[in-house]
Amino acid sequence: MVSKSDLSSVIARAVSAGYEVYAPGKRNGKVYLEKADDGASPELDHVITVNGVKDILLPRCEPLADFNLTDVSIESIDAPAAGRVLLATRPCDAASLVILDAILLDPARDTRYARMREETVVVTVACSRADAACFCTSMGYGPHDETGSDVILLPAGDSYLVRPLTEKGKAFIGEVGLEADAGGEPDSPPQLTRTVRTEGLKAWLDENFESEKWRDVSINCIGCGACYYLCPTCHCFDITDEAGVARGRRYRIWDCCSFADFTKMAGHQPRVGRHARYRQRIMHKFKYTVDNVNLTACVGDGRCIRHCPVGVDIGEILESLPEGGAARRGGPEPGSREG
Amino acid sequence: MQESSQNRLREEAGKLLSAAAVEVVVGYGDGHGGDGVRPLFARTPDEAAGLVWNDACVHNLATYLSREPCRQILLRGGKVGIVAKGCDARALVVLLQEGQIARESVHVIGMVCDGVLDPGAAVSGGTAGSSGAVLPKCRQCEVQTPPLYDTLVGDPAGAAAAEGDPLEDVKDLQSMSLEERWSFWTGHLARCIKCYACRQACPMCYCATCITEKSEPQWIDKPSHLKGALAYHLIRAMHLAGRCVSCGECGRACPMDIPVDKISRYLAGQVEEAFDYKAGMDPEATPAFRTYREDDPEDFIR
Repeated sequence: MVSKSDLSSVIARAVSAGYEVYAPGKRNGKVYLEKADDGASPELDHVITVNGVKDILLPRCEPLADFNLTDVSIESIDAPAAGRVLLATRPCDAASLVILDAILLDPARDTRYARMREETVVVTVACSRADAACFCTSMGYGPHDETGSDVILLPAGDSYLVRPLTEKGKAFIGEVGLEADAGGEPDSPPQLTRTVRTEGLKAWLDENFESEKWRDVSINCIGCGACYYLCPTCHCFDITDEAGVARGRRYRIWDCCSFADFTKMAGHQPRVGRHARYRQRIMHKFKYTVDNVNLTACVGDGRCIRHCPVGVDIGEILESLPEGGAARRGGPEPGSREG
Repeated sequence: MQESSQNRLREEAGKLLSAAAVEVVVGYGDGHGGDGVRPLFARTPDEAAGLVWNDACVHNLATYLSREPCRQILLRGGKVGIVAKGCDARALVVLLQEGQIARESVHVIGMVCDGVLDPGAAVSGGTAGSSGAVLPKCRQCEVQTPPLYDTLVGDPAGAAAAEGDPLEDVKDLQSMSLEERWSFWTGHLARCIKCYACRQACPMCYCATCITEKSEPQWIDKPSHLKGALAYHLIRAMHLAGRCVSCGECGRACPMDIPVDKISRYLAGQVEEAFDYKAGMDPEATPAFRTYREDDPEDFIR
């Protein structure tokens, strides 16, 4: 058992054991997963952080190499090797790592992600409450789900039952002086108010790359990247150089299919129109990843619903796509300008 | 009063659609499961019956005029109906002045507005505006009655009067030293993830290709490190100076809680001070950066 108030000393002990600790912290009433200093006490009463764990393991902006054109040299910049612990993540965030692993580690191995991932301990705090956007149970997970966690802390009154789930987790609790609880009765998990029906979705997606419904469901979308960048499983990236006359640096940065320049190549824009970009988002998560690694690239964390500035609701869209076959009405013709 | 305005709005939008005076009315509808409010594109009189008007109607719908399907309708000479609060109508005025829309191709249903609720509380799962507080911009609103409309819904005489200075909340920036301001902004912008929600929510950001998307050459650093974030937000600030209508949508859209709207509102204050001009208040006015006077101030050029 560990009391809720003792989690700050777990942070302190992890920091002194040499870990970089990331934990939920509050800013202006919103909670973000961010680097925690020795002495920080994690937020525990929130539903979920605004940002997902990919923020740490697949950073939004990662320097890859410095190059020098004068002496024609390239110096690669390694991913940080220090051990890190993601403390008090939620079960859906931990589950998102299993999806990222399946995509990024095999068969092609993203060596930077692999290195970061190997050095990371995932200590999940199971959920005590859910909000109207949460739909993890519809994606096969749940408020007390263990997928992807090395340790799960299950709420039991003012304390947590400590359940190590992997060797890495066992080693970690030893290092920070926590004891495993074999028994104990955790609080019952919160009841989700949201169910997203996905029957028939995959079959519909298999057959309906061309459908007027794509225009219908994406009509409110203003084409920003908020849902993509907050999504814990969206993992598309771009490589970009920042070059001066003689020297430069190469970065890997987040990218997403919402943007007009996404995968744009010489003379060809593969996804003209917002509907085509929104379609890519849904297809990638609910068809391509299923076809490729037999996982749905969605954990039902609900961030895309919670933070969409214009109320686009993926759960509603997933349910509406297979309904009734054809579109409600013909959409407008494609235009040249999109954003 | 909101209910009678809502009925009137539905009636007007229904009439426009049944008479085929417009192809679509862009307004507000219920959010999923009745939770909050979100944009609604009504294309039939039946759909117009789903339009809502209440204090959760926060979005500036003018941003949709430069997007599919409105853009396509306007390009082929069709007409679009749009529901606009005062702040939204200011954006429409700027779009008119800048030749982005033709006056006759847009039917503006102007809403007399007493202010909309701060949707901040919606983030934790409550309904929009469950905090019960109106947005700061509404407390200092100067346009309860829209400066541009074809149909006005609501009673202008009944609108609450503005209190205080519209630029009140950027005054704290003005009082900061240069160093303090630098640390204020670098602190905020270091968190920018470059999702461009601010740009996309902005009705004034209608460029067909944003300079951030131009890669030959790459004018703006793409990475979201501080330098890249500063480059983007600075160029956006410059593009919005004298054009920003202070609707605050960029700040509302930001998932990282960066007060993006303060940047352009600060500049709006500077333009007002130097040129006595407020964007979008008067369709007949000539925008600040389209006039030249011998006695134009230049003391801000340093």
